[in-house]
Amino acid sequence: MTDFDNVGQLMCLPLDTILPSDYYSAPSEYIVAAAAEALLKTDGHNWIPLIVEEAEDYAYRAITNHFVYAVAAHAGLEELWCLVIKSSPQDTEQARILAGEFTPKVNLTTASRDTIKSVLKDLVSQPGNPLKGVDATISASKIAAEDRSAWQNFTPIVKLKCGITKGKKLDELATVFYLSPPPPPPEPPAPISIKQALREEIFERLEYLATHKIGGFGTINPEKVSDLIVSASKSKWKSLTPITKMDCGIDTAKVKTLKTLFTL
Amino acid sequence: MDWSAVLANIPPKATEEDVCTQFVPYLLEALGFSATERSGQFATGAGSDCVDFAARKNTADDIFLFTKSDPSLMVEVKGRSTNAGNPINLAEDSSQYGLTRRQLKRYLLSPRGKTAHWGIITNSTHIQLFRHHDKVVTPATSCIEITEENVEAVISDIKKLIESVFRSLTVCVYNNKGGVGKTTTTINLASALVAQKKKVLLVDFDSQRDLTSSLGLEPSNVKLSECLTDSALDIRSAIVPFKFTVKSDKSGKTYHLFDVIPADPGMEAFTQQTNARIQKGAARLRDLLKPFINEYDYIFIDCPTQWLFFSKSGVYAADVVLIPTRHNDLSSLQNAARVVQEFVLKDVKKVRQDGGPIALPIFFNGSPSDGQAIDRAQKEIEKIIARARAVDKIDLVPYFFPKVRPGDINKTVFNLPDYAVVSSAAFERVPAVFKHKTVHKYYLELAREYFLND
Repeated sequence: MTDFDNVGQLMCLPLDTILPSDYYSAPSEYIVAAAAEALLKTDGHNWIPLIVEEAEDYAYRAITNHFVYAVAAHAGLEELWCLVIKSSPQDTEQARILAGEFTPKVNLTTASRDTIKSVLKDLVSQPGNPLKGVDATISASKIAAEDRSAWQNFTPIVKLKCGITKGKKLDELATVFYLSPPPPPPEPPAPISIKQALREEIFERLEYLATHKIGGFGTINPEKVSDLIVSASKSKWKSLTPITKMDCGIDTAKVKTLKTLFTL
Repeated sequence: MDWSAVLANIPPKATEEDVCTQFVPYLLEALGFSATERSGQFATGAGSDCVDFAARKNTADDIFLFTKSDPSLMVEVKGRSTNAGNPINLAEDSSQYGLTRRQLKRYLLSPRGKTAHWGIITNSTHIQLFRHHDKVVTPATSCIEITEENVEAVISDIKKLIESVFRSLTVCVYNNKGGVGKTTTTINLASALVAQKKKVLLVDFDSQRDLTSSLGLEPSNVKLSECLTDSALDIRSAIVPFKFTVKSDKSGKTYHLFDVIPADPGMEAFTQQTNARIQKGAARLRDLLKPFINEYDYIFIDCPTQWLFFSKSGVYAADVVLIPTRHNDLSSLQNAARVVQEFVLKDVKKVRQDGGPIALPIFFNGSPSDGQAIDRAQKEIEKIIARARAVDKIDLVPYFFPKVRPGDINKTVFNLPDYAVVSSAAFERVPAVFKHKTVHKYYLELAREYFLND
């Protein structure tokens, strides 16, 4: 948005410089014709602008408000008032959302219980929706109670037994929700003998598991556990099981994960 | 060309010699110059000066490597670090960048650099292309950091540029302060260049139409204001020739001096409705003048004061901005600093993204060559420079005192002497340059100071 471009400005552009939408289908022809008549009655000045982006120098692409273009074309106008918006996927998507062209998806990774409930209620109430019959309140509570921060897809919802099963129901969720999981963790450190490892080597591995919340390690304190493991007498250990008795939050299930990074 | 391999083979602390052997030959090859079309350590003809590389396409009977004549490109190379291992930063605004740029300019203005339309500075980490037009060297790209990802595109863009021909230099004569003689300068400077056989176009981009009326011209059927809003119109049809009849010549012979795109009344009546039809806003004029870049040697744009649509368009369309000032008008000096700092460097250069335009050093219009008044003006300029350095961290010295060099505090500002006939000539609808030998001499000096490399 500078004085050297038209971004953010209402411009009167030649109709033949605008590339119309290739997906918009206008309502019945009589509506377009009647709207064109209304437009011509007011000197052909369209007060609702077509939203366009600059496709290249002196050429524009319709982004939304496509009805305006259809009407102007029907009316035979040579010029059309347009709002020129910034040309980027986010900006054009935002314009389409604000024009009500489609409903924005909700980020399920961070959505609150109320938001989830509201979305589910809306879906359930739609006639013929695959989620019909699902209790929006119960499902929303169960989903909201889960730690969704690392969900890579929607399948964990199936395990919550809230009536949303794999298949059509789960697929329906993908039409309204999206996930923004953190990027996959980097390569893990190489496995190391727990008996010979230095404190920083143990810490490095525990911190890797904790930081990337692998195998439930998100809740353990790598500093504390490293100290405990280093100070323990490990010469007679035949497995990693003694760690479970250190009262440091590592149970048998977590030992399984430990085995990926530690040997005896 | 496998640029990843080429870049990977250049040592991180490459010296100038490393860059000369491991980067520049590949660069020149990619720019279309074969081994016989380039030459290292090219003597410029100015003392013992040698530019690192010069190049030109061979013709049927002229192999550049053998004749070493008429280069079309010169390349000044730096290392990534000095031989002692100290890093060399060639990023814009670094001191090394300024020195290298000045060095390239010296080579391009040398006797054997006259034919070189293009110059490159590079240390294989940064690269910038410059365009050479008579005495002016302007950036043709910004100073670009070379990466593995962009190297191919950067070099292909440079290749496209150097394969095209740009005959003209577009000059916007502008100061944000009025009364500095912009229109008079434009008309007479253009006339002095015409007398040197240069083909010139003047664009009156001021709704006050001073330039148009002082030459006694009327717009043609196709008007500039209409061309701004209607891209179907041909701007060539807006041109009006300025002809001059020599009264002393009994045959009444008429000479075609230069072409003018006059201002028209439509420019005065710009409304929101008009603005809404000017696609690309203040960038439109630059596009509008594109058909002329191979038609004229110089295109001059006369703009009004006030940093609004007309002036913004003129500066955006320009390769260089020429800033007249008055030695006895402090505001004209302060506004010259504003033009350089805020309008050229901040507003327009940032948007253009091609390294341009550049501001030429100021000159005093209608001043004595020395005396107390000049001393006073110099002191005021020193204050302006000090403030810009302290507050904005910008070095304005090259724009006000272009002759200052390390170890030489020559604070001479070019002055165009006052001469009463200059302003009175406007009433006769004739550029003063064609009426008075002295005026001609003055403006020829101005043309030589900034543009002519004869």
